[in-house]
Amino acid sequence: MRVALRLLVVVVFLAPLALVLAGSLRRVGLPPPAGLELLPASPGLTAYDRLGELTPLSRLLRNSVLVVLVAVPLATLVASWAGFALAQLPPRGRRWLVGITTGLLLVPLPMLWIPRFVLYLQVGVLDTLVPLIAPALAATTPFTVLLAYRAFRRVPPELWEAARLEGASALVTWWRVGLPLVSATTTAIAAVAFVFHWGNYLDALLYAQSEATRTLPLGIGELATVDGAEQSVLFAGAVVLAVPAVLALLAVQRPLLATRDGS
Amino acid sequence: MSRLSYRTGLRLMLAPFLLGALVLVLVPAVMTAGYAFTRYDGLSPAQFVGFDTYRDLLAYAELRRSLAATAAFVVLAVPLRVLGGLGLALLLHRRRARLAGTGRAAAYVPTVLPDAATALIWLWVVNPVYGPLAVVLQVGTGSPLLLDRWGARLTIVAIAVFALGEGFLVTLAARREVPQVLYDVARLEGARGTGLFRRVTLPMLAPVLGLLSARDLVVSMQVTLVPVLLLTRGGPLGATKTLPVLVYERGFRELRFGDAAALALLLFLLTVLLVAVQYRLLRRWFRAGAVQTGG
Repeated sequence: MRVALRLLVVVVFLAPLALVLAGSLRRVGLPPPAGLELLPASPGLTAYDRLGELTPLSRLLRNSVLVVLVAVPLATLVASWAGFALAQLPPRGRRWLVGITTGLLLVPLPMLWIPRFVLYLQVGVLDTLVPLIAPALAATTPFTVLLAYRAFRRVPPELWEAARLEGASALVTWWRVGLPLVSATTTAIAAVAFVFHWGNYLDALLYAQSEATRTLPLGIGELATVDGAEQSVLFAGAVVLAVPAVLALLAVQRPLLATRDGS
Repeated sequence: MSRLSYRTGLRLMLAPFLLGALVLVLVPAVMTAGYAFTRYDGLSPAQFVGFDTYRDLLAYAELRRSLAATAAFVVLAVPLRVLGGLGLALLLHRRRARLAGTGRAAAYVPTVLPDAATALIWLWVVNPVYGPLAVVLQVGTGSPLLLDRWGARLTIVAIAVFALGEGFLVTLAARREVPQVLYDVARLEGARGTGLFRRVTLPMLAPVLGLLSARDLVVSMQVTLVPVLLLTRGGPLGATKTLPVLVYERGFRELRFGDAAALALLLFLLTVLLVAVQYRLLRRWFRAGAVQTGG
């Protein structure tokens, strides 16, 4: 009974993506399938070729990869440093700052759209990739800082004390003692940041719409509003966007979902 | 080599995050509260207009429609997301049970999918000619689902419900922290099945569920923009034009920053109000953790 329900969960949550993956292999130019087609008769990659014709795919990919390459390490570093420092502050300051960090989770994003636009406009980075990387300066989401904080709190404080007595600086202690002990959490933080920046449609829409800086989500999302784009091409677009995010999930699936150790 | 004290080193490591949060979150939030009382287009200086913006906004039916669309979404999405996460956590929490690991990963997949990919998938799902809803379940055949008031609303709700991974994960962790001995004791006292759920699981998870529903309320008030823009564009007839969509239209389509800020501030105040009301209603839940096996 429970196994059947679990099977149902797997099917319901994965079926759409599986069907989309299969559908993207349907050749361009065929009439739409009658009924639900599980696998196209003679699969091919023509939908992906067509996707490349309808969108500037290589430029979109290049921009997206650039954003992720800068933003993910940056966010991970900022979050890990902040979590490391928070975990060792004296109790009073710590409680305060952890409270504020948690409070940041409650600020609705629409509150930030207009002032960020004005800020980017005045600094002169509107329609560059900077607004897409900028959230990494604030650790992408306060959630990553809290994750790092929780992980470093679980490390026995004697270890920090020992490093400190040996004359190690905070930075060296973080690198040599702290980081190796929380690698599962650090990977999870990087994955959270990757998923956000890779799929970031909103910031691209608001601050980086121009041809030259357009990233993959915006370029692919546009297909949704193009009339007459063939279904298999839309599927191909969804696949190109979805696969890296799903791979990131698989990379952290063990620490994040299976054991208590890394969350 | 100059040496900083360890404590100073820690402060310097905390600084980037604090600075980022200050410049990108705290200051913007305060600025929005200021812009809300001005007329401003981002180019010429802002003009103070006091409560005029709010008086105008309240005079138009559009805000009322938007509040109705927001309410419809929040009322459906929050309980479904929290209860869905609970159901999944209870079904999948065991480490070695068959299909549990695969189920956990599968349940998280829609949460990590980029918004644009999700939108493309759902456009197909609800397609009235060859989408699976039409073909398999015969739902919405004839009239496109997205052109129906509630069809469009429920589609946006469904997208949010499938992306319940975060709440699922938190509930999962909470369920795993319930000591097995509580279940053993309840069993000795003759509790079975739903009795165990009522006497052990629910009371132990209540504080987490309370917090999650507050967090989910905040999230649900603001996540609708991208799916709505890509699927319904606010329609039909404003049925899915939630507050974030209205903020976006005023600010970024019409460049009326003052109006957009006023709406964003309203969104924030409504969120605070709703969380406070919710806290009063669920107060027992937030504190129930201490009760142990409530029964």
